[in-house]
Amino acid sequence: MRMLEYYLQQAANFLRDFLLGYGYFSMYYALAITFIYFLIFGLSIRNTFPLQRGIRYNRLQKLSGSEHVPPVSLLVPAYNEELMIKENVRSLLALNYPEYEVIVVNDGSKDDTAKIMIEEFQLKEIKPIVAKQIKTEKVRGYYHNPEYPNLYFIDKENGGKADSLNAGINLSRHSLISTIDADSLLEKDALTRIARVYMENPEETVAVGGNVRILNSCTVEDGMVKNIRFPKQWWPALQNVEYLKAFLGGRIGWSSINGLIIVSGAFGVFQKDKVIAVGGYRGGYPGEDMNIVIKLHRYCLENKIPYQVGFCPDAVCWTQAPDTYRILSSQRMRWGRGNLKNMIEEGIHVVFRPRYKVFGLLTLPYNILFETLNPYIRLSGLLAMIGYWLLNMSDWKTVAVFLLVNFFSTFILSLGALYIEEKAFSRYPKLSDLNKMILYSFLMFLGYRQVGVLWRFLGHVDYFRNNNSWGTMVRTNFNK
Amino acid sequence: MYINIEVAIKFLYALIILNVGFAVVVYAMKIKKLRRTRMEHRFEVKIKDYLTYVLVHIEGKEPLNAPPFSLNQVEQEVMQEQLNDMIENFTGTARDKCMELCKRLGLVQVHLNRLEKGSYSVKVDAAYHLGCMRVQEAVPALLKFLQTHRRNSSLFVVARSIAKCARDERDVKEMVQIVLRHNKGFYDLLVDMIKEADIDHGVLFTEFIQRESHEFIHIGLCGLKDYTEPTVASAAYRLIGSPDRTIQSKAVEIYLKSVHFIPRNVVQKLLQNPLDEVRILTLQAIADLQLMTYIDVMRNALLDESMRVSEASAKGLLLLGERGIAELCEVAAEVRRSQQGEYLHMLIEEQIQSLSLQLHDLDQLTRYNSLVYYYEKTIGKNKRIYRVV
Repeated sequence: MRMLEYYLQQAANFLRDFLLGYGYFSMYYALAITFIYFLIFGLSIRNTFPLQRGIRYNRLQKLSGSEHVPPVSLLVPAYNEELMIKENVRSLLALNYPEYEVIVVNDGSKDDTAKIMIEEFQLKEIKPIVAKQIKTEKVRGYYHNPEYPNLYFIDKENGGKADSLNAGINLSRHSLISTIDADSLLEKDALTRIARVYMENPEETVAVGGNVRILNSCTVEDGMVKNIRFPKQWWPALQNVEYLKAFLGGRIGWSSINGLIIVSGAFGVFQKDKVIAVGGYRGGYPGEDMNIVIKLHRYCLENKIPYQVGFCPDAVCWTQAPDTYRILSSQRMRWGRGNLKNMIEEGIHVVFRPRYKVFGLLTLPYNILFETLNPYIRLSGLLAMIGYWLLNMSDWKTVAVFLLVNFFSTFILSLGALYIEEKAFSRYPKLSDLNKMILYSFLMFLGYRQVGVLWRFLGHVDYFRNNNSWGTMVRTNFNK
Repeated sequence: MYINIEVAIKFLYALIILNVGFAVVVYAMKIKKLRRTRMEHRFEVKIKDYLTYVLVHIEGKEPLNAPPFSLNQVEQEVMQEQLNDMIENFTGTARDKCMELCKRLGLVQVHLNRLEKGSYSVKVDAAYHLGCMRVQEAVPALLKFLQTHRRNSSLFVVARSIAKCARDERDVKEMVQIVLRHNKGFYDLLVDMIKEADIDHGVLFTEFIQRESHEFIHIGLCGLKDYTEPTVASAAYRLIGSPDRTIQSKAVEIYLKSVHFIPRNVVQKLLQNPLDEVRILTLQAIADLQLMTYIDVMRNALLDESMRVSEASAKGLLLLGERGIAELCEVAAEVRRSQQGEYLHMLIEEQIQSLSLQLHDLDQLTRYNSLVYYYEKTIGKNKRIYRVV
C-alpha cells in the first residue's frame, strides 16, 4: 500500500514537474508569438502611411488608359460554377484596363458551366498554338468568339484548380498572369492598382497579392459591388473581421520585409516566366496558392535573383464567404491540410537556413511553429489547464489574469487592423459598421477562434488519413 | 510555478489602456471622416452654381472669377480637388484658365510654401498638388526634393509632378537622371510620366535612343512604341543588332512600324534572329506592307521551327494575293505528312470556313475563291468545291 502511495506520489511529482516545464514552454511560446504579431502589426501600421500616399496621389483613371501598363492574362479556373460564371466573366470583361485577356478554364465541371459559357458567349472551337511548358490533364477543346476578342475558354478533364491554372498558363499570351477565383468579383480598377505596384519595380516583382474582402450582404449590380455593407450573418461577419486582420494587419507587414508566404488564390498577379521556371502550380492538393509563393521564394533565393513578393491592399477582390458551419469547416480543414502539406513538402527544406534570409529565418519558423503546430499547442494547453486545476497548481485569479492578458494582447491587433482600415481605406461607410466590426472582433474569442483550431487539427487528421477531397462547397448567386 | 502575478496585472492594465486608446483613436478617425464627408457633400451643393459658371466661361477670353464666398480649410481642399480634375481633363485655354484660377485663389502660393517648409508628408502632398496645377516655378524645389527622396511610391509622385510642371526638356531630363539612380527597370512608368510633360516627346525619346546608356535607350524605346515617323526608323535601325535582346526586339518593332519598305538584306537579317517574336513581327510587317517581292521569304518561313512563326507566315501569305495563296497551298501539299503540314492544312481549312461566312465582302470573296481553287488543286480531297461568283 505504501509502495502504491509512493509511486502515486512520484507520478504526481513527475506530472507537476512536467506541467511546470510545459507552463514555462507555453509562456515563452505565447511571448514569442505575441512579439512576432506585434512586430508585424507595427510594420503594417508603419507602412500604412506610404501606402495611403501611394493610393491618394496616383491618378488611376489616367493610368488605366495608359499604353504603358503591362498586359495581363487573367486565369479563371472554374469547377461547378454554373450559377456565377456568367456574371463573373461579364464583370471581368468590363475591367478598366487597357490590355488583358480572360482565360476561363472549366475543370471538368459536373454541372453546366461549359454549356453556359459556350452558349452565353457564343464560343466556337478553335485550334490555337498552345505552349506545352507545363503538363496538364487532357484539354477537350479551346473556344473563342471574335466578338469577345479577349475571352478564351478552355474545356478540360478534371485535374484540380492547380491543373486548370497550368492549362491557362499554357494558353496565355502575356508575360503577367493573374489568378482569379470564379466565385469572386474584381473591382474595376483592381488590376490597374496592382499594375501600379508592379510598374514601380518590374524587374524584381515576381508576385503581387490583392486584398480579399467579404461580399456577403453587399449589393452587386452588373458585376460591380454597389452597396458595401458589413455581413448580416454570423459566419461571414466573423470571417470579415478575420480577413481584415489577416490582410491589413498581417500581409502589409510581411510584404514590407519580403516575407509574404501567400498570395491569395482569389486574386494575385505573377510573372509568368518565374511561375513556369518553378514548374507551375503543384497539382493534386489544396494550398496551391501558398505552394507557388514558397517555390518562388526558394527559386529566387537559390538562384540569387533579386525579387519582391508584394501586396497591394487597395486592389480589391470581393468573395462570397461560406455562410454555414458545414461549408466553413470544410474550407478551413482544407486550408489546414494544404498548410501542413506545404510545410512538409517545401517548408522543412527552407526553415532556419540563413541562405533563405527573412523567409527562412522568420516567415517559415513563424508559420511552422505558430500556424501549423498551433492546434497541438492549443489542445495540449487545454489539457495542461485541466492538469493545473486537478493538481492545485494554479488559482482562478492567475488563470483570469492570463486569459485577460491573452485577450487584450490579441484584441489590440484587431483594433490595429481597424485603424489601418479607417486610415487608408474606410470602405464601410457607416458608424454602425465600425461598431459591428469591434463587436465581432470581440466575439471571435468566444468560440470562433477555438473552433478554428479544431478545424485545423481535423485538417491534419485528414492529411494523415490521405483524405484529399476538396470538401463541401456550395455556390450561390452574388445577390443572395 | 513561479508567476509574478503583480507584474502580470500591471501588464494587463497597460494593455487595457492601450486597447482603450486604440479604440478611441479608431472611433475619432471614423467620426472625423464622417463629419468631413458631410461637409464635403454640403459644399458640393453650395458650389454647384459656381462650377456651372466656370464650365460656361471656361473657353471665353475673360479670366475666371474666384467664388463669391470665402472658403474654409475643408472647402478649399474640395475646391482644389475639383480644379485638379478639370486641369487633368481639359487642355489648351480651358486648362490655362483653371491654372490661373488656382493662382488667383492663392492655392499655388499655399502649396509652394508647404513644399518649402512642411514635414515630409506635407511636402509630398504639396508636390502632388503643384504637379496637378502645373506650377512651373515649383520645378527647382521639386527637383531638390526628388534628389533626397528614397525609392518608394512617393518618389514617382514627385517625379510625375516635375514632368507635369516641366518648363522645358532640360527639367524632364534632370528628373529622369535623378529617378534612374534608383533604377529597377521602371521604364514604362517613367515614359508614362514623361508623356505628361508639355514638350515634344518624340524628339526627346529619339534623342534617348541615340545615347550610349542602356537605361536611356530602354526609356526611348518604350516611349517610341507608337511612333511611325521615318526619323524614328533610322534611329531604331541602329539598335536592331543590339546584344540586349529586349532592346533588340523593341527596336525591331519600332523600326517595322515606321518604314514603308524593308530592304531584302534587313528582312533576311531579321528572319535569322533567334527570337520568335522578331521573326513574327517581320512576317507581319511584310504582309501589312503588301511586299509581294518577299513571297519567297514568306514561303521559307512556313517551315520555320517555331509553329508561331509558321502560322504568322501562313496568315501573311493569305494576305499577299493569289500568288501568296498558291505558295501556301503548295508548301502545305509538299509537307502534308509532317506535323507542320497537318497544321497548315488545318489553318487553310479554318480560313476557308471563316471566309465562307464573309462572302458579302468582295476582297474576302476573291480570297475565298483563290484559296479554295489552289487548295483543291494542290491537296485535292475530292470534295466538291463551290466557287462563288
